[in-house]
Amino acid sequence: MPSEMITLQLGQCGNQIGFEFWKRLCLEHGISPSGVLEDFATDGPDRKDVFFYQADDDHYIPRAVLLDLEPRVIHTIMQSQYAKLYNPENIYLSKDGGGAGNNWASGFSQGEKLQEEVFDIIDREADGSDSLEGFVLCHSIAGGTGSGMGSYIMERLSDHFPKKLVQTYSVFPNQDEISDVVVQPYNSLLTLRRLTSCADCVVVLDNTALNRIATDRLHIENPSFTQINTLVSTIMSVSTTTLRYPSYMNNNLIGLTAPLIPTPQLHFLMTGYTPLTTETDISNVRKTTVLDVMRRLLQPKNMMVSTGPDKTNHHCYISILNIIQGEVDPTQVHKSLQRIRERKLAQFIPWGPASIQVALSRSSPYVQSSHRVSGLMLANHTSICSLFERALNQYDKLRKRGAFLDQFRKEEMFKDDLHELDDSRDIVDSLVQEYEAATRHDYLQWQAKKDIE
Amino acid sequence: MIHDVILSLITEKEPQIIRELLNEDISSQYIHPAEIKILKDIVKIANQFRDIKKFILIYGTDQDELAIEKIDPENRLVGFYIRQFANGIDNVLENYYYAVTQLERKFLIKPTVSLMFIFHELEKFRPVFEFLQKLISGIETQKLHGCQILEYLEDNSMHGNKHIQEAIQTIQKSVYSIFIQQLYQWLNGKLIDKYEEFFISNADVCASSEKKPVYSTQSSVNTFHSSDHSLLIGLWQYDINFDMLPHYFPKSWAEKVLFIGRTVLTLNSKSNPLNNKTFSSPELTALCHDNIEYEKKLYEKFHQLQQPNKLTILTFELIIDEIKLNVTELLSNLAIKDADLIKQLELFKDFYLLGRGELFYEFIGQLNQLYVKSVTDHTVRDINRLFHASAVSVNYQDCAELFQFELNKNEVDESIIESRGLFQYLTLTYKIKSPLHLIFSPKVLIKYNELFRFLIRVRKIQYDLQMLWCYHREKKIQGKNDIVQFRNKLMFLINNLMYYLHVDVLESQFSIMMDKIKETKDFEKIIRAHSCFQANILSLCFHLETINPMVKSMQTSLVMENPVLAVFKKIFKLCEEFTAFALTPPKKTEEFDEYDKLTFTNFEDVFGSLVDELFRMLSTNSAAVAITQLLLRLDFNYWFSTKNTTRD
Repeated sequence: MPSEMITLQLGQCGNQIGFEFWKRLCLEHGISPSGVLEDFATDGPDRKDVFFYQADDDHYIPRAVLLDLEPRVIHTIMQSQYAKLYNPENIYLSKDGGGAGNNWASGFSQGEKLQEEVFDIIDREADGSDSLEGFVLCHSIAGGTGSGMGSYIMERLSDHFPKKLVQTYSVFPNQDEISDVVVQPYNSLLTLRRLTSCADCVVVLDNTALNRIATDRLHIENPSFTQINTLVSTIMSVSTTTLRYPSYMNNNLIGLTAPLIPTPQLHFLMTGYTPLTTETDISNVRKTTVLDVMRRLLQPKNMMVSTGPDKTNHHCYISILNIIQGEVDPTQVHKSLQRIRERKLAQFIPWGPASIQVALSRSSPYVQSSHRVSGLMLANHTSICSLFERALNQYDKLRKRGAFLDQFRKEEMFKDDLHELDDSRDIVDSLVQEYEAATRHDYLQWQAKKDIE
Repeated sequence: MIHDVILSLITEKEPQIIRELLNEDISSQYIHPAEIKILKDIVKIANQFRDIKKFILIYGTDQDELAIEKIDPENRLVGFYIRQFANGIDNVLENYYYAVTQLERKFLIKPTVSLMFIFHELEKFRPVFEFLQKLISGIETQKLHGCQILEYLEDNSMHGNKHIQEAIQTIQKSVYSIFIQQLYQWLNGKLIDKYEEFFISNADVCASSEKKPVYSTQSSVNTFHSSDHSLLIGLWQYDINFDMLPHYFPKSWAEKVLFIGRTVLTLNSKSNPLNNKTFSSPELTALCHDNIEYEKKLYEKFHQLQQPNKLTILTFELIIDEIKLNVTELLSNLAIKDADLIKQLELFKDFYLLGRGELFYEFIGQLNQLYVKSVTDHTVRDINRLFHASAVSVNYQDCAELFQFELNKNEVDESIIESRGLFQYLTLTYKIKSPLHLIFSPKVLIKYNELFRFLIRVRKIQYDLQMLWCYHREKKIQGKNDIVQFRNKLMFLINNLMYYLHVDVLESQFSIMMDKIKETKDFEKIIRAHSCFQANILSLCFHLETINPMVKSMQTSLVMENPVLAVFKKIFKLCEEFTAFALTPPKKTEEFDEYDKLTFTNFEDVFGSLVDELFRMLSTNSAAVAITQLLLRLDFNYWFSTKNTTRD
């Protein structure tokens, strides 16, 4: 069982998207909600062991660790029909159940207190796999548990397992609505710092874009969490499909991420998915070909990250990986690439070789799709820095007024001074600068002069 | 006296009395001088007959030992064809015997029969005898053998004389009977050809008997029974011996015959219960049934051939075509349903063409931990063990068990043994289900192995570069470091080469072949689709040698390596050296010493010039589709090409 992955779900949001992810995986692999392999799925060629392992009675158990500081979401999961799927030892709820109060600092310090118990679970899970390749972290960056405790765990993971990759699916808050979490800008910034320095690959799931896609493209007026999470679970499952189904390349996380991330600092990935339809919306089914899919993936409106208008039009792709599923005629791939290049549909970095990599992948035979071809794009695009700029701006506004800092000062970390916040701001700011620099010819020399570290 | 003359007509030796009669001193007492001439003519006919009879006695079925002893064994012809030829002549002589007995009867009824009358009765045989003598001497002087006799007869078969025409047809029929028998046997999968007379030959036997032409009875009887285990290899030893193929049979026809025979051999080996433990399965009983049907049909067809007027090349062609249609459909049925051709082809893609990336990723990883000091039998065993362990870990062991690695120890250059070098000596073998070895012949497998070694080398380099990526990640080396950037370039090149190989070439060609195979029922078309597939992937993977026509005629060893492949091999070597260099543990990537700096600059320079060379080659050969496809992937953002122009 090579290249196993352990999934860590943190906080309310992390557990919700994690739950959807596992539902989806069970469906795709023909595993029943209680973990038993369905009769029709007994001799599939899929690789279930990457995300699941088998108990003594052969039922499948997800390599998932569920962590939360308050019981609500986990209780919902435990009352669903999937309750028996998870290993109960892997579910950790803090005993007081008080949550982190949407406070990064509280989440972080609670993570520190609980680290022994949490790492007991993680170590056990890691020991149980043959050649663990890495961790997948599901969390949001805005709340308290996912961001704060998530940050702490990320820091510890890179100490504890220096050879293991850490990939995160990080949910960025919706900018279009007013958040009930007032300290969200602080939380985001502090988490971003850890995502920059401790994670190897961050798949950005931007709630702004997800909501926008749900309303504009799927015509749902007030998209519910479940509907948004279905989108998220699609992205998560498709982005792992080459790991879970046999194919010629991209069979492990390194193979998948290494070509996408040529410079370690720039490891924030955008995703795009097409065709987008809801289960009820059948009228929206269009003809899909490889070229259609690849072209639509390059359209900003299909991107799951709201980057805002690029006025100077200077942002560019560092790398692209398209995972195409369905009845694909492989001869079309080349034609599509040619067309995209001729039409200049994608702009690439000027300082190194770059291209669109296309992985043809099998899709689950157990999930019926009304589309012949569907595709997911994982892209490393410099315009993602606008997301961080926005976070910086919001942070600056709050910080200037010194608003809501009391909540942070309660915690050990911020008792004496707020340098943690300032440091984080510097790191995120230099990240934005680096992304900007990566659009220019002299990027490779740029770093040499201005490197802060 | 007349009776003596009549009797002398069919004796094997000229009787004394006739010889005396020819002496004019004696004969003048009994016959009129005018009749002497007639007598001489009669004796001449009798002598011709004796000549011919002698030949029959030597070569015919009723051999006369005394007659055989008289001739020089060196000059003696052997074989079934010559025997049938002699028997055919014997048949022709039946008319003559009949005429002679009629004469005798007439003489006994009416003793006044004159010599003139006898001569008149026999005269019509004269041209036939002359013709037969000509045929015999032709065969003896040219030492014609086997099917060549058929050809010779066909050449002489057109004749205006009715009697001669009849005679030659009788002989042809006689000789054809053995030909048809052999053909029938062969179409049933047996080659019974003691004297190597048939136009299908067994190369193995030919080679062994080349030095001593054993046309004697002690030569081994080459009856290949289908139960023979060496059959699977033996199948390819059968080939057409064009010397023995009568020129009026088209080559294509002979090839069809060869194909059917081989096919039937395969089918037999499968349906033979001794060979196959699972013969009780319904498919196989159906197959046996099919086989019986086939034999029945074959028999009926050949029965038609016995009618003399049907003995034309046209009939042969018609029959063979019909049989072939039957066989190919049977075969494709068998191949697709029973041997699961589609699955087998997918297995070939999965293993030989590295379609199962995760298996080979795991295998390469495992093999990297295997330190090989010297190549022994254990090495191969270890490799196979690792391979199957990898297969188990990715849950693919069922299919992987069909594959085994072999290592030709003698080829291995001990100086470059590292696990990386070892790949280049591995041969992947596969137990092919019959009838599919008609598709996957040994030659085809050699080509697959060539590709396999190429692909696994690329894969291995990719693996090493990924390991380097991990190493750099762990050491937290900054992205703008020269080494990291150089690594990225190599990684980009290798990755895109792999995408090109797998998506643009292998998957694309594979899907084209599959479409073709699903369309057809004809096994031959399936074979053609597959060989087309292999030829295409070989050429698109730059594995076809470009042959310089000027040089080729002089020396075949001067076949040029494909120039694109040559550059890639250099790039591979560079990648291997670079990863080894960059992964060396004590190397602090930030602080090069002078030597390291030099080495690294050298890497960059070599890479630059190789890429230049590659792009020059790719862009000058832009007519070739393959190359433009690769170029598109490599130079998607025009980085390589703009970089090159700025340098120039």
